[in-house]
Amino acid sequence: MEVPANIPPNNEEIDLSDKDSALEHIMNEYGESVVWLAFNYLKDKNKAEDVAQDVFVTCYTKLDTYKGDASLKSWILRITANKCKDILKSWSYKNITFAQNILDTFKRKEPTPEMELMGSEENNELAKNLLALPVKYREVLFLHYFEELKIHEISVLLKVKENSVKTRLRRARMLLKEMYEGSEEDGRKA
Amino acid sequence: MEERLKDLRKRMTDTKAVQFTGVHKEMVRRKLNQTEYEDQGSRKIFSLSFSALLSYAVCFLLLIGAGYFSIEQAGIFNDKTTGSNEAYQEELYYKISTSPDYLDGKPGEILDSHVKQLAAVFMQDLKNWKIIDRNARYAGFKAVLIKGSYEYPGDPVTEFASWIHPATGIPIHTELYNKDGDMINELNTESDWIKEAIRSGKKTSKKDDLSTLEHRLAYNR
Repeated sequence: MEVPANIPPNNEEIDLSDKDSALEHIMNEYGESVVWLAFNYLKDKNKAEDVAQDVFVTCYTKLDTYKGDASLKSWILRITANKCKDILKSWSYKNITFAQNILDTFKRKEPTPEMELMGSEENNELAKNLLALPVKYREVLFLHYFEELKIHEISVLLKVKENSVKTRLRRARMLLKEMYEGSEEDGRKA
Repeated sequence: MEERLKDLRKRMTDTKAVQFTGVHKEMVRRKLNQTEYEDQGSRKIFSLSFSALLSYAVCFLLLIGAGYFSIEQAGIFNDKTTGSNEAYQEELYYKISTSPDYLDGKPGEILDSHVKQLAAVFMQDLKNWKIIDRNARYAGFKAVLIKGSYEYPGDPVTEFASWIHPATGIPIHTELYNKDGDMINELNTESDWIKEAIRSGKKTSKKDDLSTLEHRLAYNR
């Protein structure tokens, strides 16, 4: 898995020589971001939690390679994104997903993300719609609106051109909008 | 749509679909401790394995050394015919020099003269000649064929070849050549009593030690 290095730095000041303290700080500060980004990719609570733990283990072991010329937050998010993409690309993951889809077909059940939503109806719907987007749209949407990263930061983190990020964001919003309009129409018909 | 996506973090975390709690942090710490323990274990195993391997290697080398020393002392590989060419050359030279000792009291002028020429003139410098065939034959005898070059102002001989009986060192036949490769002289010791000396292979005098050889060579010079 690739460990990023060329992301603009921020003003975080952490004593990285004390690895244990640095780890505690990183987990407290970015635990939520990491687990949510992983969930955004994998749509599975347990897998997201496992990945998050792996990310922090990687951060701890690779902390020496972090030169400080990149934002720590972006460095960690990049590690998370790379780990999740590796999983999504892995043969075993695709195989399990394929098998699960077949099982769902026989059960005549809609394939749904592994999640239990406990928020308001509006927020739950937003989460479901967002996770239903293709991965390349939901990742930019998540990084821009959830993590509040700028277009340039997303472009560096995902290694895609800024224009591509802008295009993906626009299409993601359109797709999301269509989803809402579709569900409203269904509601009216009902 | 922008309005819906506003405060996305707050909205998403409200669903509590996934969380990173103290339990997860503790899991990370345990994983790290486990990894560290496994690393230490691996290092310890490697260290132990390395020490063991080093000990085995040292023992192995000692055994090889002791074995080689024993073999050397026992003389198992002392068959000079299989030794290095240089060592065999030296031994052959020594045998040739002491070969008149096989004369059994019979007149040995011919052989003495032959040996003097060969050992003192042509073969003294080991670099000037080499063994061509260790398993040659001449006049029905086993022989070692040697060939060499010779250079002395005014002497027409430039090359020589000799068939030497390997056990006694008696030169059976020697041929001398000029610079054109023509044979200009030959030395024969094929008399019956020399054949008998070769067949019996018994020395009659005790002049086969190094001091005798040195004396003989000094005399020849």
